[in-house]
Amino acid sequence: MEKVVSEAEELPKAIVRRVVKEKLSECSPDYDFNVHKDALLAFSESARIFIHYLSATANNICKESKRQTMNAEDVFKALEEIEFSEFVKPLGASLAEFKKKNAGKKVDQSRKMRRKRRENRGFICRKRNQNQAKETG
Amino acid sequence: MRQAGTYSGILSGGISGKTGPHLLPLARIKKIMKKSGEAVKMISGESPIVFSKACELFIKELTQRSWMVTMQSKRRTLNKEDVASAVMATDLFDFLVNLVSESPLEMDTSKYS
Repeated sequence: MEKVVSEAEELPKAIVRRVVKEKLSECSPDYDFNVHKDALLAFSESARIFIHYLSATANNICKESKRQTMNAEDVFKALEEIEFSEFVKPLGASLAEFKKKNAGKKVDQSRKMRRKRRENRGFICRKRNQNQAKETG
Repeated sequence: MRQAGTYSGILSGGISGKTGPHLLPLARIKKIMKKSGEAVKMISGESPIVFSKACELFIKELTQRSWMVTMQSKRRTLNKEDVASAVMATDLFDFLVNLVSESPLEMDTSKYS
């Protein structure tokens, strides 16, 4: 049997396996479970098709609003359209948390850049003074 | 495998604190999204993040429904027929009907692009 989809286009097997096993641990905390590798492949492929389906729907919504760039709002509306509206709330929370953490990261980064520039200026001034001292001394 | 670097740790916590940093590599997701159709060209920075988490929730939903089929048959090993049964039994998963009616390994993916 030949794989039609290249590995580069698949979702990473280890990650799909982890998500599946995490869910099964929740569903059956007291019992052993096992997952056949063909089932994992089925989950992986299903998720890939889900992304296609959701992308295409979100893209249509984006185009209808006469925009070129698909954004999170388009994706949320698409989820409603394909009847996965129960995902919208937890995804909204997840995105808000990401934005909060990323905003903090951006502030830290710009502070680091300013500090680095100050230090560089200090270094350049000291070097210049040293060179001048050598020339005159 | 988890991607280290820029995004590791950003989504730690998320919906279930247990998942830690976000799981699905954003670059891979972007690649799959762009293969959804010629029209999908520009994607905002936040979209792959939403997709990554949506994917995780989707896999969990499908896993749960498939596991119910496994349990009903009094088995402990979830196999691909359980996934197929879950898909056929759930209206929500109608878009997967073509996938499960063929072997996953022989699937013609051009239908979905």
